[in-house]
Amino acid sequence: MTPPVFTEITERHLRLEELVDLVAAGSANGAVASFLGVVRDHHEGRRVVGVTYDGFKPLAEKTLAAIAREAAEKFETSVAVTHRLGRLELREASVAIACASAHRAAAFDACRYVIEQVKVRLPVFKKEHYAEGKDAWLAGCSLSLPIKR
Amino acid sequence: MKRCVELYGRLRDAAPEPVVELELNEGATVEEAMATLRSALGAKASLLEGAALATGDAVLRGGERIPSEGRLAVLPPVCGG
Repeated sequence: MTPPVFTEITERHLRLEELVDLVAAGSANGAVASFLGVVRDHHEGRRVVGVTYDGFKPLAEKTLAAIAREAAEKFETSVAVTHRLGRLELREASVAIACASAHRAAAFDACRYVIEQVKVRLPVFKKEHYAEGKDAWLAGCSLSLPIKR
Repeated sequence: MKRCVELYGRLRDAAPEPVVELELNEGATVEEAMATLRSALGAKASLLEGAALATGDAVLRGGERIPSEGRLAVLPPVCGG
């Protein structure tokens, strides 16, 4: 039986503790691993003051759910992952992941799997806002090419 | 058939509105729709490099036919996480 998964695409502030509570509910788990992607203040020599995430929400929800189910099956972990859309300020979280399993290796591996798949499959797009007042959409991974899982 | 294609990411800079209306033949393929979209975007068509067409359920592949209804979006290379 596939462990439970929880996924959400949201415009609200992410709360990692909520995801940890979701996955850690079972008493069979001996390990909970987590990951937070947060907005940093620099990128390729430019001073970043914020980021805006745009996304095609219906497909993003389905893709995120698929990624979480794959991780749950592959690593036998409970998985919870949320990605935020909209304007984010420095240090705010764009993606939060929590995974729980009997042992730590699977929990760490599942977290890694989820974030790596999010980066190449999730239909979300990132615009950076710079200190000088300009902004730019970042390059990314084409969905028209086969994705390695 | 008339199909509205939603623009995301950098493609929002390609047109004054976030949706472009295309006139497509019934049974048009992804390649045909992308060619029509390139014409529609004109000088901004280079922003379509690496882009993919998608429904709310899946990314559409080259030879697939464009569905006659439901949401349709053109997605530039993704950059989430």
